[in-house]
Amino acid sequence: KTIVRLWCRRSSARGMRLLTHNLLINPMKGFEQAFPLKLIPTKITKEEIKFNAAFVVHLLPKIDYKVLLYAASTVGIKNLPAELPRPIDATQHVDLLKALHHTLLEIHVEEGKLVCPKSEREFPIKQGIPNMRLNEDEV
Amino acid sequence: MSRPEHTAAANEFYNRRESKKYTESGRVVSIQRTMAARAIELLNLPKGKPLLLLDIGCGSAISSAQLGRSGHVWVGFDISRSMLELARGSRLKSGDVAEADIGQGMPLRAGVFDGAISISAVQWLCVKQTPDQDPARRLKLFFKTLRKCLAFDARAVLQVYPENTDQMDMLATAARNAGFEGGIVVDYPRSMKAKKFYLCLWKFDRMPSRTQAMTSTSDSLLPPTVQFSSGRKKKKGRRKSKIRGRGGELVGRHESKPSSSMKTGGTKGRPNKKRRRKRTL
Repeated sequence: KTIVRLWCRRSSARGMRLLTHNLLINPMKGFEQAFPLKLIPTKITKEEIKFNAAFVVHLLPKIDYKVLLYAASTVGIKNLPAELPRPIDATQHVDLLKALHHTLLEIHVEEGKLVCPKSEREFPIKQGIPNMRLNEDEV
Repeated sequence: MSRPEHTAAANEFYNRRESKKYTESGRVVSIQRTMAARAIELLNLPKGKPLLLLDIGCGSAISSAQLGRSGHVWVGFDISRSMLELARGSRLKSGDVAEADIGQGMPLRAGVFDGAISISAVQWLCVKQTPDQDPARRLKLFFKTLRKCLAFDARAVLQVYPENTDQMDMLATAARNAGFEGGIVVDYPRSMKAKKFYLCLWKFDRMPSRTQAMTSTSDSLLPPTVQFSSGRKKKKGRRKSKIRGRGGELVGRHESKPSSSMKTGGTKGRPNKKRRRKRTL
C-alpha cells in the first residue's frame, strides 16, 4: 500500500496517570499487599482534560491518599494538603478538587518504572505503557 | 479457518502486522464498537454519572474509546504490546492502558472499579498458550482477581467468542466458583454468524440483606435476592422450563439443546422446503 499521509496529526499524550498508579499492585502470588509500587518517572507530560468536580469526589474514596501524595511528589507536585477535609464538598473545596483533578488525571508518565517495594522487581513503563506481565518462572 | 487461539498466543497472534490490520479494518472497528456499546448497556450503570471502569483485553482501545464516549474514565489491560501501541490519540483521553496477562491475575487493588467490560478477549484463557500453562488455573485466578478489584455492586460484562458449549461452560463455571453470579445474554441467537455471547456477572453475596442495606440508590444493581411470601402457591403442572435463576446459581440458555427448528434441519419434516435464513447483522 502506498498511501502517503499528507497530514501529521500530533497524538495526544500517552502515559500512565497517577490515578492508575494508585490502583496497580504486583500480580505475583503473595504480593497483593505490596502497595504502592515505587514510582520512578524519567519522562512526564501534561495534558489538560475537562474538570468534573463530581467525578473527582467519586474517585476520592477509591484513592489511597497517602500514596497519591507520594506519587505526586515524584512528579514534582507539592501543593496538596497532608490530609483531605471530611466531608469533601464539590462547591466548597473547588480549588482542592481542581488540584486533585490535575494530579490524578492530567499528569502522564511516559517513561520510567514501577518497583515492587517487597521484591524490588521492576515493571518498566515504556511509551506510556506499564508492563505488568510476569515471566513464566515468576507465575 | 482455524481460530486465533489455536494459532498462537494472544501477544504473538496480535503482532505488529495483525494488530495494524485489526485496528484499521473499518468492519472490525464497527463491530467492536457495537459490542462495547452493548456491554456498557448490560452493565446497567447509573445514568449521568462518570465512573471508573475496567476494560479487559482492551487492545488498541477501540472498546475503551466507547467507554470514554459514554463519559467514563477507564483503565485497560492487554497482553499484546503491538495492539497497545496502537492505542493513541483521542482514545487515550479518557483512560490509560497497561500491558498484562490477565491469566496471571489482575494487578489491581481491591474494590476500586465501578464496572468492567471485555470484548472478544476472555475466551483466550480457555486455551493453552504455552505447553506448561494450565487454563483452569488461569481462569480461576482471573475471575478471582477480577471479583476482587470490583466495587461491591459493580458488574462485569464479558463478551466472548466461545469455540463450543464446553468453553462457555468452562467460563461460566469458573466465574461461579470465583464468587460471581449472573447469566449469559445471547444476542442474535438464531444466526450462527451474528450470534454474540455476553457473560454478565456480579458479586455473589451470601447475605443479600447486607447488600441491600449498603445500596443507596438503584435497585437494578442488586443481585436477584430471594423473595419470601407467606401465602401458598398452587403448584402448576410440570413444564419443561428454561433454567430458572436461583441464589448462587448461574442462569444459562440451553446452548447444548437444539431448538425444535434445528432438530428438523429447518424444514419441519418437509425436505423440499428449505427455510431461507434471514441474515441479521
